[in-house]
Amino acid sequence: MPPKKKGNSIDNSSDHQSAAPGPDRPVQPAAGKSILVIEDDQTNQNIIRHFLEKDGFVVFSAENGEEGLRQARDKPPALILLDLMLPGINGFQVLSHLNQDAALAPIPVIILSSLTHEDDIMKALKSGAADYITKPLSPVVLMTKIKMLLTERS
Amino acid sequence: MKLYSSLVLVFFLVLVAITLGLFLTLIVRRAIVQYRERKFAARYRKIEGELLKLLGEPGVDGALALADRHAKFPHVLTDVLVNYSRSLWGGEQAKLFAIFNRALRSRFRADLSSRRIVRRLRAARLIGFFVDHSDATVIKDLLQGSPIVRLAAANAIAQSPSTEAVPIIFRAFETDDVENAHAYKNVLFSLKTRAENGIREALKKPLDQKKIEILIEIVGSIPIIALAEDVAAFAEHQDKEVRLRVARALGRLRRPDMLPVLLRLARDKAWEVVAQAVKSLGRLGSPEALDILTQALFSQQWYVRYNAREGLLNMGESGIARLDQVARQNRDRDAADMAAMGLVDAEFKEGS
Repeated sequence: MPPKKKGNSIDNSSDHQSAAPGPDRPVQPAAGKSILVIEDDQTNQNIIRHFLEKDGFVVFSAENGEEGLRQARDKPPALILLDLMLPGINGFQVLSHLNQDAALAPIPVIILSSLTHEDDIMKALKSGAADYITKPLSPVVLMTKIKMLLTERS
Repeated sequence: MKLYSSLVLVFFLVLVAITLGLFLTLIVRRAIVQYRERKFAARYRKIEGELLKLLGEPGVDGALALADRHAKFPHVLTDVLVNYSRSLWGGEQAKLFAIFNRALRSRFRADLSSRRIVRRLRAARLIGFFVDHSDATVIKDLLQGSPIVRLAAANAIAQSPSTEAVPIIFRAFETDDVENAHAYKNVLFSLKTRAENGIREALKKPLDQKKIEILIEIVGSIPIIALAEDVAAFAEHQDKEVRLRVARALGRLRRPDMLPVLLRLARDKAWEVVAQAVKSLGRLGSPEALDILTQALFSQQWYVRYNAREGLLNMGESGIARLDQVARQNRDRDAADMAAMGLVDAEFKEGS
């Protein structure tokens, strides 16, 4: 098990551009947009946070569904990345709570999950998820989907 | 009396000294463990921080430099690599491979044959993620090792996102002694649908019967619906154990187009195959199976009658009507009893 690491210890001083190839159409500038990552795996959280912050996103993270919902209500983000297998309430339940809240329902949610069964993917999409990405993650694919989704929604 | 008192005192003092010694040992040991854990965590964070900075950067030069810097800490490096291999997919994996090849591969080879179980375990964890074509024999060795090493290897291999891992596992399974074939069951099962092509190819080869049985079972357990035809090809196999597994797997796959195969197996000469085929027909729930399930209620074998009853219950109203018919007839008491029990079950289910 990796040691628990709270907060961001990643150096963002690099002037490296996004690893994600830009989509054909213009994408929304990332700077200042906030993204909430609800994920209990610390390694995944670190990887996602690293790539998002590199591209100028402001990242909030939660390790379980309840904390994620609380953070979403406190500071509604531009997008939510949601794991399905969470301690406490699971990702499907979080999705359902988000949909029931008028203020949070419009926020696009991308599911990140190691569940690769067609039924799980369909269930998530039917429950209102904007996209579904299976783990292990490809940072390039993840970043491209996030940017495209934010461009579409704006 | 004085001597006796002195002896008791000495005994008491020795006891106190032993107890204190034990406490002291425990405290020191705990302090050492905590110190090591802190050092491990600090090193982990350091490597992780450096690795994260490399992600998204072009080339693997930075990864090679990281490997050189931390090669002296193989335990920590292994932990970081395993965790990141589990999480990352795509181009970034090249960096993890570069680190492994530079800092750990030679050590990993040595650890595989180490007498220390901890080292073999570490090698087993790594193999799933950093396996290459030359490691097929290594996989075989690990899967024949002690249970804990075998389990670690199996888990690591099955979780491996590497596309190389699947063909290697199948090659090891096909060439390994048949006595070890069962050790592969969990590995193959954990591959889920990634096992599809491997199983399809393996079923075409002249494998030992036990291995064929395992593959057929796994197709049904996962289940891999696309392999129904490949499994059905063994429905005429000379050994009833294989036919029985075909019947079970086809029931789990629930493909309506497999009905004719199951109907054929439900008339098999071996009652074990019939019992399984009847159960699978019940799972399929096709009305075309009504006659054969009703007929199976009159079998001399209890298991066949029981599975027929369950199958008819699965069919809903039409199945219950058949159970009712059989329960009313007098020519076969066993069949009537089994059907009557089915009706009681149906009533109970309806009531609840």
